Amino acid sequence: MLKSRFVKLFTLMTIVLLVASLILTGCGKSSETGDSSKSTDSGQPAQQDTQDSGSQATSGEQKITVLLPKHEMDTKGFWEKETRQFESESGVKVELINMAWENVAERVTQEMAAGGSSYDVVEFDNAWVAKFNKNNWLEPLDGYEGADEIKNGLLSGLVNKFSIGGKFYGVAWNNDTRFFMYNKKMLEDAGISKPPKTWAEVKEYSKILQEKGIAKYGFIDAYPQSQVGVNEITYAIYSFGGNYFDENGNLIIASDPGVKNALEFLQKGLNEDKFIDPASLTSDYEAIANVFFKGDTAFFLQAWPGVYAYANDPSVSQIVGQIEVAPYAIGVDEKTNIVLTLPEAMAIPATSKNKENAWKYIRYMSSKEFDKRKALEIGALPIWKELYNDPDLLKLYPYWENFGKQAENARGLPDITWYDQFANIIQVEVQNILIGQTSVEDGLKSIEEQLKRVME
Amino acid sequence: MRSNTRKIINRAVIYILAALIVIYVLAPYLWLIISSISTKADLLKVPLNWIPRKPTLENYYTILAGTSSSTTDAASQFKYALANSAVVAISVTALSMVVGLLAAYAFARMRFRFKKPSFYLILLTQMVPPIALIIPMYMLLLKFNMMDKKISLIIVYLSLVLPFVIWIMKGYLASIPVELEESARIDGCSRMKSFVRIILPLASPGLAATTIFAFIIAWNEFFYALNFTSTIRAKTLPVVITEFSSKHGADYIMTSTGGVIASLPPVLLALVFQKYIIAGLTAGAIKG
Amino acid sequence: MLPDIKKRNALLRNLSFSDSNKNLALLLILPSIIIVFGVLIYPICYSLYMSFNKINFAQRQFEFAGLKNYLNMFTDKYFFNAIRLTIYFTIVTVFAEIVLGTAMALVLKQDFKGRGFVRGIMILPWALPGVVNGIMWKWIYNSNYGALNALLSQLGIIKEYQVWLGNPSSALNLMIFANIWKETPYVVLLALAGLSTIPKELYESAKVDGAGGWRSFWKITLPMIKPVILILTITKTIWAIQTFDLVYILTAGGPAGGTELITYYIHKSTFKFLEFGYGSAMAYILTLVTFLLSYLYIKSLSKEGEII
Repeated sequence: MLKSRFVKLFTLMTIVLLVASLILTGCGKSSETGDSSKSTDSGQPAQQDTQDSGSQATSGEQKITVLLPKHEMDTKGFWEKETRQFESESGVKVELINMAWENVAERVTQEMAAGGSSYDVVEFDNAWVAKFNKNNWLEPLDGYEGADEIKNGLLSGLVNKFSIGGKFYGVAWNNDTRFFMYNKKMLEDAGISKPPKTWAEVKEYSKILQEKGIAKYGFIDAYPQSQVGVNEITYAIYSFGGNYFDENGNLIIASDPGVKNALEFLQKGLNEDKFIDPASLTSDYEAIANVFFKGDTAFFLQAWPGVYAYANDPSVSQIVGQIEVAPYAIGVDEKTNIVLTLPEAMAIPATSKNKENAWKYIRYMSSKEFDKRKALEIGALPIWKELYNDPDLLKLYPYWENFGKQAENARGLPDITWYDQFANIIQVEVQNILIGQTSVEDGLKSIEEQLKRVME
Repeated sequence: MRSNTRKIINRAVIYILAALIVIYVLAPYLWLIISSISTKADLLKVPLNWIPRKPTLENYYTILAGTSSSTTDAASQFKYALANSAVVAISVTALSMVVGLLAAYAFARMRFRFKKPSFYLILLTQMVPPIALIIPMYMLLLKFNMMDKKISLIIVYLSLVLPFVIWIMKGYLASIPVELEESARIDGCSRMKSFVRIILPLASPGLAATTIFAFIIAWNEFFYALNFTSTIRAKTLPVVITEFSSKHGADYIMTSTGGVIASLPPVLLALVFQKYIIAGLTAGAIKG
Repeated sequence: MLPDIKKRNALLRNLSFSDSNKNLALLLILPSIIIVFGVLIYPICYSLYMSFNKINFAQRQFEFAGLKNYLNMFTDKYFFNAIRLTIYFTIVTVFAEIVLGTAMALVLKQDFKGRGFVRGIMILPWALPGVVNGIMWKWIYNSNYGALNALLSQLGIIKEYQVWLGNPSSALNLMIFANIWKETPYVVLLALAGLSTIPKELYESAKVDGAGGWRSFWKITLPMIKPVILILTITKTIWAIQTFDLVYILTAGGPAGGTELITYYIHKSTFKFLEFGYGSAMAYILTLVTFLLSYLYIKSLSKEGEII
């Protein structure tokens, strides 16, 4: 009885072993044959050897590896389609690797730190510029053919953001600029004729909306302990006329009245006046978009461009036809009009062995024609100045006119080599302030102290 | 009469406790299943609809069949990742069980020099957080052209799973009375024979449990897989599942769908193996 | 009735000495040694070396830093915060999982209809990839539409939806709950297998001696599965200290650093701040602590030869 049970278990394990070895050897074979046969056309992802840079030379085939996150508006595989188009036009094979943004960030850092040459085109985020430059991780693009045309034709903010020390390192592929949008219908229902322009009006209108039971909260924003939180806090500080540093790079966080006012306003709004959804403290962007699309809040202070399209998509939104883009962004007074810009770029690692082909790819994937197709097909914001006057696009996206007005004064995150240490301290201490564990003044003092220590 | 009512109460208590366990285990998981067949509109209801109004299996279809337009998105890569995960987890389980059983037996039943130090040393390797090891490992894999290969994952996972497999199995082997083996040896069995005829059958609950253990660790490993794989050649399920997300956050519904599918193989394995975890050392076993 | 340790050891000695092939033991453990150390020895040495250096990426070279990375920990308030939280997290999760898991195993050992099924699905939480577990709980705890809020408010326990992860202590405890839910099945599985190896006669003779269920649990069950429980405690401790996925996904260390466990902070220092040396130094302090802790467990709770 016992013995037979053991025999069964043993047989089971033997089978498992056999199957495993079969699969293993089977796989070895299939991936070998998979390389020679063209599996790409049959709808299967291309499966070439990425790491075997030696094999490129022998086969004479030109190949680059591209590591990028997916554009958040690209739901129909636009980027991949264009990549395949590039392959057929240039004869350069592209292994396109799309991962979630966090995964890409981890991988790029890992690869750069280890000094590998696995990738030829990589994601280059706006917050990485100073850090990557300091470590000489990227290839300057200035000398490449057509670089000047790009530098002159792209929105100057995008060029400046990815330039440092007089050199140009990245070509933007995602012009992620934020805009103030609002739910027009809710305002009308409450008898409010025009969207708020100042923070005080945001508070005033929110109260009206909440009292009339039209909105649960005036707005929800993302203030969690993460990069996202720093983005939104930075916007709030800028829009209150504040800044972390003065023009000379000196830390002014504890003495700047704008910083203090911004944080006081948010702290009160969350805890006392209660027109900011307290869920803001734990929400990421996806979560706050859900709340807005659900019709629970009226204002979306810093919405990314894709929000407009999603708000009008009945499968994810209950506010179809209600969203509007204001011609200005919220500020501390009528004059202040600031939005946040968080673009992402393509860059070539200094260790890449296929720089010329990598550049060809970047050039193709940022050309004016490509940029227009991208705007038409997935509604992404163009990177070329000229396209903002393009009649085809304006006809399709009339609200871009207001994007243009808001974007006149778009600002990014601080450019410092130690940005991540900076962000970490801001995240933790600002949350301490917002949940009411420390007063604004004490919190800011503590931030300044800690930042100074890191700067040394 | 009295002992009869007591029996009934005992039975009732056991069933109630079992029911509680089932609820505790299943409630969050059921919610995951419900989410995976819901539409976003249903999930965002306040008050919440516990049963979706329009249940749909579309997500499962998308995830298993892939999307038509693209090959680089998570849904299209899911089935490849499923296969990769299966290859990696099965290989790691089988290899670690065989290799680990040998070592476990030696540690449980034999005396040799440096036994304790070598055991402590093996355990010590597991106390170093993977985060400290990831950079040098990455460099090694780059150097030997082993990035993005299943075999690399298998090797790395073996180093992760094997020490625990050895230790856990050693525990079970050691709990089998030495007398049994001794008497077999006196009867003229060789060490090998007594190992196969006496020890292994008696240790079958432990063996089965350890197999499930090894499989789940290998199946669910995330951190190394995230760093050492990048394409469908080697990417495993946990990695692909995190890719159901954009810069702005996770797509909860697709993640749920992926999670439900990913959790099934270990459960099937547990269902198959659980009958070996029932009373191993019975009265009959000792006599026979 | 219980196996006598002394007698056992004597028998063991007999067994091994009666064996002429003394190299057999080495032969048996050699494959394992080769695999484990073959893979890990270089990374461990390299990162240990890294912990005494500062890395200059621009020049691609190490700059020797002596003990600086180790000393820096003493002035790093985030490090101390992370250590404090990790200690709390480890103690609570390990204790809860061991007690709960053993209790569940005792129930599942009983004979009842559908036992096989319950044992099978018991594995579910543990079978769920860690990342899915994190995302699932994040959504359950969601303050606007989460299932926890829905459940509690429909039962009339709360009036308003709560921001569960919005304050440090409730976020930490909810994270602990998510961890306990997921990891307990590991204890159940192994404890159940341990229970199954207890000879039935032990209970029978205890019954004859008039011992009740409670007494035979303390006198027979617990001593018999003690080695398994100890192994479980140590492995659980190691993993609790290394908890990463859950923090990464559920809270990212927030709010206000209230859930920032040590491995998450090491990860941040390494991959975000690019302080590879400092990250490694913290990792090795952690290794040392884990080892000492395990050593203490083993020395104080187990008899010679019981689990090591």
